[in-house]
Amino acid sequence: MALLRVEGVVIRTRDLGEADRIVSLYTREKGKIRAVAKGARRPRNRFASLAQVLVHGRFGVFQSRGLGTLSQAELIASFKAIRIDLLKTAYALSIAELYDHMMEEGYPAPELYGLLLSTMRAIESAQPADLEKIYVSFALKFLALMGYAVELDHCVKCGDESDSLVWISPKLGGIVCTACRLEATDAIQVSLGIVQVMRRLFRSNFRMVSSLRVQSRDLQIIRRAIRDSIELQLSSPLRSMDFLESMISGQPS
Amino acid sequence: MPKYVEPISRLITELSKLPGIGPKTAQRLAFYILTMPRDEVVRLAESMLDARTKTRQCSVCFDITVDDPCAVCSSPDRDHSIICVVEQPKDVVAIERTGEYKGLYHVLHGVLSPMDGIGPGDIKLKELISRLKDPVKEVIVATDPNVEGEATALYIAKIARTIGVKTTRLAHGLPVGGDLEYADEVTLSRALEGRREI
Repeated sequence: MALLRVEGVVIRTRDLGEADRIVSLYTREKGKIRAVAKGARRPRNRFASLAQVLVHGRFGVFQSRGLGTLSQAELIASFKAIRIDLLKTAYALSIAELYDHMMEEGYPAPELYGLLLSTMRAIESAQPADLEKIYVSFALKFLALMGYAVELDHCVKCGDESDSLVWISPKLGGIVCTACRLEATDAIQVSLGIVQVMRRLFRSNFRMVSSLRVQSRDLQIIRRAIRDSIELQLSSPLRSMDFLESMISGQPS
Repeated sequence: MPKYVEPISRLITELSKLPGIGPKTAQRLAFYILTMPRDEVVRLAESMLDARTKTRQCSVCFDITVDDPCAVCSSPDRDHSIICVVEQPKDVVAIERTGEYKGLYHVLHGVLSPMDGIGPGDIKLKELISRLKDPVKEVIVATDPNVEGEATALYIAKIARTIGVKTTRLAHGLPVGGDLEYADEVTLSRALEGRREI
């Protein structure tokens, strides 16, 4: 059995048997991989605190047919500020679930790994008011890296770049002009201001995102468009999204 | 492929539905049952049926009980101003084994797990909130120390704060009898945070 050494973030855990845990890691070197952390549910086990969602670490995995076995784990960051904040936890878990859902095992994508880490760091240090902007900025970047970029510069149907671009169609993959709007049954009405905000959120790094002024109503519209765009690419809806939205609205789901 | 006779294959099928029991283990258990004395098999079958039919959830704390309300909830000797919130009935037994805790319990029957689609409406949170009134002064959240357990604790703390009930969390840190040098970084940093004067 070969020992695989990787750096990654735990994006999902599942209990296995009496005391084991299956961990899904999103790694820099191998993309998504899964391994069994033996005895990780026992308090004194060396993997107990590391085989947990949102742990960033260096891991050693013995590869074999089927699931590998976790043999080493060393902490790099536990994103503590996320764990002690319910809203930050909700955002971080929805991103972890997105990676778990959309990534195939064994396809490395260093840019997507970098995006995951930088987003977690941004959420960790963010002010509550900036979390939604960070999430939208992340989602636009994520969709682009996955090959499903939301077109924000011209009408996806006719290429029009004029000021009449006030609709977004998740199905068509971007903004549509008023003339083409009838062909987009799922079109969401936006404004030029919202499109400009989306462009800036897409192109800005997370540090610059906090300086952008965005109306909360506009963010709600953008979130709806983003959620529809993401869910179009998934075979089943993201379960954590309902929890996140209930946390944002302050209402129990 | 040769098959077992119907009563045995049925037993194997039923046993393999239990958690952690695969087809081979089910087969081994089934053949062991065949070698057991008849009265022991009857006792086993009756105890399974009794456990299933004679128990229910306490209408106050949702622990498993025979009488409703359970012995803890109806005891005048327990401290009714403290509620310890746990995930599962087996956690109540674990805390009772310490012999240190004299308050009441509340069993959530789960934990907030956004990635599994389990939200506040899917566990006994609403029922907990309805108990947070006089004489309750403190809620001890004893959910597991993982992301889901922490999220649940934060959610309870957020609601309890608005009602004016103190929320505490079980301490995290070094296991008794463990070697410091083998403790991982997360546990050690939690232990440092939770240090106390002696």
